[in-house]
Amino acid sequence: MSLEQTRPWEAARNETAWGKKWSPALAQIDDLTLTAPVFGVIEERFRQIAARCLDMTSEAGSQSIAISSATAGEGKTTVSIGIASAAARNLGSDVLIVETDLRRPQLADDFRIEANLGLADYLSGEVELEPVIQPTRMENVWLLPAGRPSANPGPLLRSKTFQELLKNLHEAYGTIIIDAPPLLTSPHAAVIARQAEALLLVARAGRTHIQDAAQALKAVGDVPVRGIVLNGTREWLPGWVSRFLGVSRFAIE
Amino acid sequence: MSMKPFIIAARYKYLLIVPFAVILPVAIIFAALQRTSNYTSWSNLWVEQPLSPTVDSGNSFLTPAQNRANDLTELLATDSFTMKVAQKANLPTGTETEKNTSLAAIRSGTSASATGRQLVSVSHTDNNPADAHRIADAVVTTYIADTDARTKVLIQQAVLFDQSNVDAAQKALADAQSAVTGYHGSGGSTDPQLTSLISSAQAAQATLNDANKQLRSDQQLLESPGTTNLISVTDQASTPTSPDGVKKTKLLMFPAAGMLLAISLAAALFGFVLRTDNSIRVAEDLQALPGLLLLGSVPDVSNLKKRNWPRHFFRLAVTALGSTVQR
Repeated sequence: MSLEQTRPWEAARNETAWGKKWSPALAQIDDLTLTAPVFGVIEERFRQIAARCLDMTSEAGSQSIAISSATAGEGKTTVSIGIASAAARNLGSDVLIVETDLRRPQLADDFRIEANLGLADYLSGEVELEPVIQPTRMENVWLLPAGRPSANPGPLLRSKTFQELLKNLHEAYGTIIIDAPPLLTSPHAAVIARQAEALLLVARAGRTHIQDAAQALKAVGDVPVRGIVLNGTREWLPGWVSRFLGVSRFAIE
Repeated sequence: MSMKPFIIAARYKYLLIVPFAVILPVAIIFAALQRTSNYTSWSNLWVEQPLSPTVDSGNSFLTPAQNRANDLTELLATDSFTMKVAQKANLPTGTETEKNTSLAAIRSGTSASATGRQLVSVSHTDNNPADAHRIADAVVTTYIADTDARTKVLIQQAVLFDQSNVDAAQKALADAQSAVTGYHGSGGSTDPQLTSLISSAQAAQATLNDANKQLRSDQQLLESPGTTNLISVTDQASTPTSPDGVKKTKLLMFPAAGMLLAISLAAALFGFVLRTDNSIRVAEDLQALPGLLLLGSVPDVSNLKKRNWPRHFFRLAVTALGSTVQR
């Protein structure tokens, strides 16, 4: 995605007036794609992460990965969007983000998509699939939003319909990224993770505790865990200090 | 030991330092700037260099004012002098507790310092302006009276000493004169023995003259009223009307102490938090989760969202300076 192509996106961001509707996840991606010279490091990091958790070769078939974290607010949605963006750019095939946190839908807002209906409504049999899958402003990235919040999403996510849905989606999309609810706070997270080929755990640097991460890994049981992504790492020195000293900026290279 | 993990941890937990590193020093500085409720009454004394060597003039390397200030400070350490001040100032000294309280109040609040070659400033600080005035006044009055009495005793002793010197000189002169009279030599005026005896008599006469002179001088000192009064009050103590201002030392020392305390507390808290905190911050922390592969890290960009332009320009300037220096 070139800088030129993202201009309308920038306009949309300006229209939204950041303070009015703050969306941390999208804001990062926004900056990632729009201000490449500044956020080139982040863009490159997502590309590396995507390459490590997905098959990025041209022969790669349809693949799916569930992205979750131990608790809420650790950045799994940010990572989902970042990996989706990187995969779409590098693989050139369609990438679908499936939002499975039916209790607290967020992705439609993050993408600023007017989506009242989504996965929950489809699994309830209220709507067809096609109308609920939305194109996003990122090239080749599609979104299946959670839809109307559901107080009891367990039966829906354990249903055969959900399993069949994922199978059908594999035929249409090259990469399916399942944005799963937190593993320690949602009893359905492990069920969702089992539907994907592998799980990717997101931890927020300085916030996620080792015990929580270990507990989350225990919760997913035999689901293959591809690895962990450390989100929100801070430079070991502020950028201006490191530039002054001429030393490496980032804590984890 | 590498400082890098510590610095990284600090980057996550720096908010912990804020209450200590910012709020505490500010609170201490604010407290330091507050006016105190103490009142200081002071008096200036003009001290003379004693004319007679008989009167003790103190350390010859110090100015008269410094000698007197030291003198007064030493006296304030004695119970007898401080007790006289307390009585003069009408402070309660009936019971042992009252006496101790009064003496402590006088000692802690009174100070004497040389403010010139011959000028001594005596001050007393107290919560009560009237007490401050009374005690400052009492200290000055007691000190002058005490100095007068001591000087008088010294001169009396000197007169007695001079008198004994005169007596001894008279006796020596009489002996010398009788020796001359009783000598019957044959050499006339060229007789060396006679010449020596006459010289001794003349020396004894000179000694007697000196002793008489010193005696008269000391007797004059003793008899002339005011001669012993080597201290005069140039500025009388008065009742202060406004509380004391903030002292410069307080202005400097309090914030410095506050900063030191803040840094110590912040460091202690920081160390505690770092020891107890087991959050994942760097790749090494993931060693506690064996088999889990770190796929990558995403830098935190949340602080770049809302750019603080003054700070941004400051950083640009620092970076530019760094580039210049490195070049």
